[in-house]
Amino acid sequence: MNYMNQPRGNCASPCGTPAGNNRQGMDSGCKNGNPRNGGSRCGNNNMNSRCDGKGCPSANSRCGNHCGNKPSRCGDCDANSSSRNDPLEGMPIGIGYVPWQQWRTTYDYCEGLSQGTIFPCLNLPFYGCIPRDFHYNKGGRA
Amino acid sequence: MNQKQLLMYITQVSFALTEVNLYLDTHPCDQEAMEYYQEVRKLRQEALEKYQCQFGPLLNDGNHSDSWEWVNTPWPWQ
Repeated sequence: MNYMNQPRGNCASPCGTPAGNNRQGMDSGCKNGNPRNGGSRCGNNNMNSRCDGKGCPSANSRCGNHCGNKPSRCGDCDANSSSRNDPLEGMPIGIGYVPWQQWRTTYDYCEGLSQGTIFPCLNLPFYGCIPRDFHYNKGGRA
Repeated sequence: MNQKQLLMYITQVSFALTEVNLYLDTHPCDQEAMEYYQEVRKLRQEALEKYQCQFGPLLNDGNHSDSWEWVNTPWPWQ
């Protein structure tokens, strides 16, 4: 890939605030690039708002069946919904997912060899941070 | 194309072939990919034939004459 030595001043802090043109942005608390905010595990710190007033989860709530003594974490077995625009919202936790590659227009032969891939979607230069204009569905359409 | 350009072309299409090979391993029913594979395979075969007939073998199935031309092409240090 051709971009290994490019300056990295255009990287946004993963938490959404601009990092500026110095390296301080990369040393922010959100180093790992995880766009989620802190949040609670269940997306809701107060289980009562998910359960009915009697303290016992209703059948339609997401609190599971921990009626009575057991503290409930809302019984969520799927990814928490505490952040907006999470493409994996609702998916089972504890499993890694790899998005399915679609066939798109390929690079021509010369460009493909030069970039190290014939697939523009797979041309992902390593910057060590998330660039400001990065789109999660990069790779575009055919 | 001269010898060097033709060899570079063979390298390019060979790489494309490897890439589409990997894609087809996970997407065996993808028709577009299959068409791309067939096209690249054909181009590569034609380029290899052209190169090897003119400049000598690149692979051990590329000796297109009645004499063993491999030893007549430059040795690695030449």
